[in-house]
Amino acid sequence: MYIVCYFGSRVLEAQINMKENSRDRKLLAISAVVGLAWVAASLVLKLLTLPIPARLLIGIVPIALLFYQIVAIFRYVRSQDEFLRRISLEALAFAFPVGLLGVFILGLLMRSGIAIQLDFMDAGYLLIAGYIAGYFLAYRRYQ
Amino acid sequence: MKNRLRVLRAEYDWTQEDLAEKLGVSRQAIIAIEKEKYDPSLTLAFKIARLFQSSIEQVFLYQDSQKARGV
Repeated sequence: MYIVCYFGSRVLEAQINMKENSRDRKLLAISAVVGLAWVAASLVLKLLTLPIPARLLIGIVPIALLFYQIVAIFRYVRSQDEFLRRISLEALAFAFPVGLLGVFILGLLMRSGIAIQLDFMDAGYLLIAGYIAGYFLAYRRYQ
Repeated sequence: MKNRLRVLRAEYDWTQEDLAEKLGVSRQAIIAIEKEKYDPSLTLAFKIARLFQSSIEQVFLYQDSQKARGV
């Protein structure tokens, strides 16, 4: 009986872990799809000369996916426990000022003609990098 | 904030994963609480205390930061 209970609990535990992993994998998959759509749309819009309605349509696809990703991230964060949610919030709190600082620095360097000319959308990458760095720092702080 | 979570967990012979599962939190949260790097919310503190059939004061020890530094 004990052995059955033990194995039962282990199977349950494995299922819980699998559920958490599948949630992680789902979010990663959505992020990968959004990233690919973003790169593909950027390349198509840059390389091909298309009529405006087609360009708008191509531009909307990654935006719609990005919207879905934001909803998925909200769901993901809501499913986290208070500790992991705190790390996510600290990462956001880190990403915003750091990203903003990066945007201002690059903007000033671009205006002064020192920095390479970057796209307006590159600010997004700064925020993402800030979030990843913030998550890493917050995670390390609590370990 | 100091706590006796590691001691209590050892008394009950639970792993960090066991405790995390019973409390419905991640193992990382248990690790951080045990290392006293993270103070849990009041709700989680009550859950922990109830799980170990103790009062919050028996699990968590609040120290005034100035007193702790001997000021």
